Amino acid sequence: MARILVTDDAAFMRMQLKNIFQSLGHEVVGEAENGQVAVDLYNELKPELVTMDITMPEMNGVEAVRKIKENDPNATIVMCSAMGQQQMVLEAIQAGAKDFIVKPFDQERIKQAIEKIL
Amino acid sequence: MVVEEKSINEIIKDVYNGTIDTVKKTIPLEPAIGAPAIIEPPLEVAFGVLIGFTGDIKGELVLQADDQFFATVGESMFGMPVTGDMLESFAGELGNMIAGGLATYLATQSIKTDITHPTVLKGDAALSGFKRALFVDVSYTDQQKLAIHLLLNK
Repeated sequence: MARILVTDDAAFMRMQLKNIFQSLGHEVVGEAENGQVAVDLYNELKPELVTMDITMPEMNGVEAVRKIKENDPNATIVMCSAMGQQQMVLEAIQAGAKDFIVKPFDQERIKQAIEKIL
Repeated sequence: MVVEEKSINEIIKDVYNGTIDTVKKTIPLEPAIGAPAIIEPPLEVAFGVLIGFTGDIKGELVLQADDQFFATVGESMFGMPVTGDMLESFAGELGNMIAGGLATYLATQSIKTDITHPTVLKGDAALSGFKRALFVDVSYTDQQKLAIHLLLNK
């Protein structure tokens, strides 16, 4: 069972991800509605996995990945975004993300990503 | 090809094709898609979602539908009824997924764009300040409709 921080500006999407993680036997220890909150909650909660949207107010997801990785190079972060263009994927992976899930996704895709990473 | 070499008609064709591609990939219901139309301001919106486009295309994507449509799509995508505050959040997220999918499609046509986070519009808004809009009418069974507008400044 992994301790997970979910980051998305849409409450609906945070709820969906939480339901999926819980049904897979994991624990969602925190929810962040933008990149800055994710950085703060990461430092406080030290989760084993972070899911990160890209397009968010305050601080976008790629910037948040960079900040989290600056503080903890071992942080495990998976992008979860509707923006699937090659350049965006490349930028996120270069920032330190371990995988890139394009929305809309299903439970199987989330399960696959977690099994590969954790 | 860089975007400067594309005429406005080529860009509109790419946006139209991208919209069809994205709607079909995102919403798991079989749509009937109308021919593209160009409309002029103002655009009246009772309930919808607005997402800004920046980069090679500058404008706003507006999705318009009623509560029932978003509830039906939410249930078809996630297998559970979507109501109340979650319905608004889902409408914003559906807009984000369609705009993100469109941006992804446009990148394959050498048009680089980025999107803003969604703004949910409620209560009979009248949008103006754009020059023209590409309108795509998407219909589903049970007379459910999704109107997609890309507001352009050129």
